Amino acid sequence: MNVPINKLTMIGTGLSALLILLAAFSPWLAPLDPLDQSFIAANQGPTAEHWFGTDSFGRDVLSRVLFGGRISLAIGILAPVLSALAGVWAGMLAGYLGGWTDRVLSRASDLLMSFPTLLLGVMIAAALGPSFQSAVIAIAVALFPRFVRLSRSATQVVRREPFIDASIAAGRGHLSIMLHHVLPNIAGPLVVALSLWIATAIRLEAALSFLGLGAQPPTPSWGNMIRDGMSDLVGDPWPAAFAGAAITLAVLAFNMVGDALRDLLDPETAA
Amino acid sequence: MSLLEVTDLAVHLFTNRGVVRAVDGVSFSLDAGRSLGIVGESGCGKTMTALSLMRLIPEPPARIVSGSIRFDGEDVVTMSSPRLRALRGNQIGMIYQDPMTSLNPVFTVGEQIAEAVRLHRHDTRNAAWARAVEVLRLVGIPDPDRVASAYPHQLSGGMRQRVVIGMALACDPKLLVADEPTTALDVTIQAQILELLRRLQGELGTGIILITHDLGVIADLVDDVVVMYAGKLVEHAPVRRLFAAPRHPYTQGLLRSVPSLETREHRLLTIDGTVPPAHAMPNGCRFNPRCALVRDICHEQEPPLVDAGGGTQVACWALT
Repeated sequence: MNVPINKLTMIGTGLSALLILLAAFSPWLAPLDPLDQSFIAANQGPTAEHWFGTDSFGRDVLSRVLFGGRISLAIGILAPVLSALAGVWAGMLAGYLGGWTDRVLSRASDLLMSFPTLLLGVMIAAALGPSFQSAVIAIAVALFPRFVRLSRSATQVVRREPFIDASIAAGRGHLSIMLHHVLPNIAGPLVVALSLWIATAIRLEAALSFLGLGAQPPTPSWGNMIRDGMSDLVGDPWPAAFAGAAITLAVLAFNMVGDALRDLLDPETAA
Repeated sequence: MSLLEVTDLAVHLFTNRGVVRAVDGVSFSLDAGRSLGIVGESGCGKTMTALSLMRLIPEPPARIVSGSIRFDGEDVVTMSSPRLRALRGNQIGMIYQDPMTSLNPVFTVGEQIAEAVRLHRHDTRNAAWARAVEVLRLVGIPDPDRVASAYPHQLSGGMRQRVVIGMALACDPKLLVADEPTTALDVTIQAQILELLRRLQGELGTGIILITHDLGVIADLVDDVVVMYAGKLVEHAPVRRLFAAPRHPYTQGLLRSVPSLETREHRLLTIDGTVPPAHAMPNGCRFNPRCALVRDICHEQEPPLVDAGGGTQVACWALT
């Protein structure tokens, strides 16, 4: 297949891969222990020893950004993937079976959709108590109705294709048809949505951590680094600035991947 | 014993505007290896009849309200879902009208045929693939090894319809149901596909039910013809007899409206009027508003199907 690859695709994919690798290998890449405090070295700007400076506890910001990326990206990727696994199936069932199944699933996801995504995430994370797991669950639930809607509407289109009737006539069961015929045909838009919603999930994670509902200190995540940095934004803006830059970069990178995939999979917008 | 025996089949559509009797008391039978054409215009119930044979009608709104469909001695109407799935594709193959959309665009045609084989036979992937190539050769596709790895969009309409036919035949079904198999194709390709169906029937001995609105299509492919009008079977005759001596006024009208190269008519004849709307069927014979031979009784009672000699059965008061 002849795939047109443009600069945007290269940059987006490269940057996303780089960020994931940096986060994954942070224990080997980080110059210092991200939890090591030093009151002598507190609140420093970038120096030769601390490239990104230090925070109010004297911890190395570069190390914390790298380790923080582990938490932020892990939640940012894990939550939408889990959400997709559940949401895509629910949407396929609703779109394929129609009737009461559709009504129940659609109304349930409409109900979830009626809350702003962040508010819903905050409510769930607050109810579950702040932790890594509850941030994953909160974000997964917040994104769930979007996957349901997307997969439902895509399924409804595929459901009407004669090859679905043809496979019923060939003796296939409905579950098998959903898996073998519907899923491969709706995979395109879902993959695009997944990469765009990974960017959304990274933002949501940052917001939850900023509100103290994500990974708990002293474990660094990009969101709680900004929260910590807020206390002395004028005296030592570096921790918040670098964590913020990391979030911006990650969101940008995954959005670029999503845009690139969309252009790739949808010939109409490719031009 | 016949391969297929449809007795007094009635399929009704339960819609918001009332009950539509899409198929109303249709009976016919088919012996193994024989072929039957079901002819009629749009909305006459021919597709509903064909879909009922494998219980493929959309339920709801449609439902088989009475009658029986015995295939190989077993009643399809009361069959369980697992038995139905084992019947579909395995015992009865189905060919749809539009080959452009009846193949899944994301898989190669070889994969699709192989999958259809593996649904019903416990073949290995390699054996199923080999079978796919074999049926592609059977349906006259040149270079089947290469074509098996092609995606549907890489093939022409005629080639795709051959693939669809091959897929329907992959499990050696005893009956092939073809719903307007040539309507979506170019005229030259139509002839090739019909020729292919005729050859396959001769070679494999598969029974064929051909649904069409085109009398030209059935003329030299099927043994018997069923003519349907507004959900009713109006005439059932051997194909030669139907063309030589059509009995029902509707059949006669249909035949007069086929353009011919032999006679030079100035204008092509049509049947006056249109099919009445499904929820406003006239009483008595459903053809009575358009019939030249209409009598009083036609407005009062539905005509029974009676023997009219020469193997023809016809439902018309004017002939009894």
